[in-house]
Amino acid sequence: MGFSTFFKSFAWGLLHLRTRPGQAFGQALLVAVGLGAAMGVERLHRASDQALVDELEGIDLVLSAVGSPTQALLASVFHLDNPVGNIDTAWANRWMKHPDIAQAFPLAYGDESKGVRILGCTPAFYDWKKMDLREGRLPAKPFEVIAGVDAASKLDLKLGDSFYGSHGAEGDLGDHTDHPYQVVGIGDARGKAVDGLLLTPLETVWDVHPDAPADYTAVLVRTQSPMAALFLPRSIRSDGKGMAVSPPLEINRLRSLLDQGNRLFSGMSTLMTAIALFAMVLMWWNFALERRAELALLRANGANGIQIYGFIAGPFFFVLGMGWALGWLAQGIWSLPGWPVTLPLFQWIPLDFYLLGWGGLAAALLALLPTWRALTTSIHTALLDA
Amino acid sequence: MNPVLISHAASHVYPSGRTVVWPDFTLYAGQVVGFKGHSGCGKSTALHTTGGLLPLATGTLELPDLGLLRPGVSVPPLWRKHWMGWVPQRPFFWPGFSVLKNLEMTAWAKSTALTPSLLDLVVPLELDGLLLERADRLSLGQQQRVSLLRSMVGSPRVILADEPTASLDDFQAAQALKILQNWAQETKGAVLIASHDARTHSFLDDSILFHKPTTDGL
Repeated sequence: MGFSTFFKSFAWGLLHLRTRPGQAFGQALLVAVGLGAAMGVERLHRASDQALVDELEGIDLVLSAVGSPTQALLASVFHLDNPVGNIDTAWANRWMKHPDIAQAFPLAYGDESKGVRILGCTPAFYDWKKMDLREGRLPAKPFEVIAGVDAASKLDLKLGDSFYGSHGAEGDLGDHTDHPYQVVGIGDARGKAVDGLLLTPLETVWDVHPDAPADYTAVLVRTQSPMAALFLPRSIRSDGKGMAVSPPLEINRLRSLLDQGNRLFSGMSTLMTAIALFAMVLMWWNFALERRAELALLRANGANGIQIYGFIAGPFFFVLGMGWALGWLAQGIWSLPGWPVTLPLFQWIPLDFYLLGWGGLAAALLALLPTWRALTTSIHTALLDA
Repeated sequence: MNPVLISHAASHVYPSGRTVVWPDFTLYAGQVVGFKGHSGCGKSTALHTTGGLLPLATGTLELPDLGLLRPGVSVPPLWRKHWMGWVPQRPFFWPGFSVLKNLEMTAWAKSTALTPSLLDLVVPLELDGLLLERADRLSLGQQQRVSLLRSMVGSPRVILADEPTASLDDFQAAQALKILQNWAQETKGAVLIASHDARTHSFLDDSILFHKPTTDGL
């Protein structure tokens, strides 16, 4: 009884499986749904984690109006929420010159164009975001705009196009028809929030609303030292004109929120996989009963436990392997349109191999159950029943 | 004549306590021997015990120069794998598999391979051209002959057949018995048939009578 006999047993199990391809495919599909969901959730988790890290690269503090820190962060860094309010430029400029602050990127939220946000920023912001342009140049004067790649495709903007913005993020309070914006550059895909924005100098935002004060919406700040990031927020907050949000703290809170969702999905994918495995065990248990005469004749002819186990385990490994591969290939469905993060699709992540390993182990162990059923059936009785 | 299998004072005891005892017998090379008697008198039990499927309670079973079965000692693996072949009462096959696949599967169970001499038998057994047909779709007579051919896989010393003629008409029954007789004579093996079918009688070289009812209890 060497390895070759064992693998021959696998092969016989697979030959048997070939006589019922529909069943094999159905089971593989069930496994694929379960494992595919787990793979997708993990990719989502990794991608959103990565996105949080990427967007905040080099940012130690966010200055904003007093309000919800999470909202301030979501609005000023991920551009997913409305800003909590405006901050006085003079006040902010004073803090930006503070010796503990190394670099600052003031931002001003301007109009929208069909749901795409127009963000006022300084030239340093383009450098920090490593905005490479696909075509055109950076804005040189007010009302010149560069469009992120997603923003450009959503609004169907080309180099040289002009368009009008509509007031505020809240809704249609009327178009600013006296101030056309002009597209002078299209950004390259960065896989970040800037892809979905229209970027323009700060002055544009202020010129559109001449009767409003020239305020910032937020200032992204890099401090001289980690210690400064720890101590500055208290003094910034002391005069009540604004606050400083520490992204790591807020991100931990966001993560725990995301993790709750992930846990729900992971639980569902585990459940689906468990159901698929249970269905397989049930089917092979029935196989051991239905084919008891045929199995008894094999055993009368000397087939031993290892051979019967190999026969049953072969299809288990095959179906789980197929399900795993199908689940992996199905990850394209996870690239949902409009998702704020880019998923690492069709790249291997460690979980893929963990799942393959655990799946193999599950197959090896679960195949023992129907094998046990087959081997504990009396050959004598099964042959007489035939 | 060379003895192929010697059964001495053999018996089997079921977990329920039911005891089946049968007379001593010796199978000689080239012989077809029958267990005769009414159903329920223990023929199948004796046949399955002889084939190593049920444990021996008393006595010995010996394949001279090859192996020995004794009570309380597990059946040597080669007993089933190499020295015994089986013809079930009703021919049944692995669903969806061809004749050849069924033969190969038996060879796999026996950890051996099909030999050219075995495949040569398809001509006298009138199975030529059917090797790649699905075994479960053949006519009953053809299935019976495939079943007989299958019992010869791995060149066993003894072929054990439980009521092999039960589902066959007179012609098919005579044909099957003739095939077994030829096999025994040509391979110097022995065939042991458990049957209450009178049509088998004229083919038997010897018969062991199971006239005693089974004894109950311990």
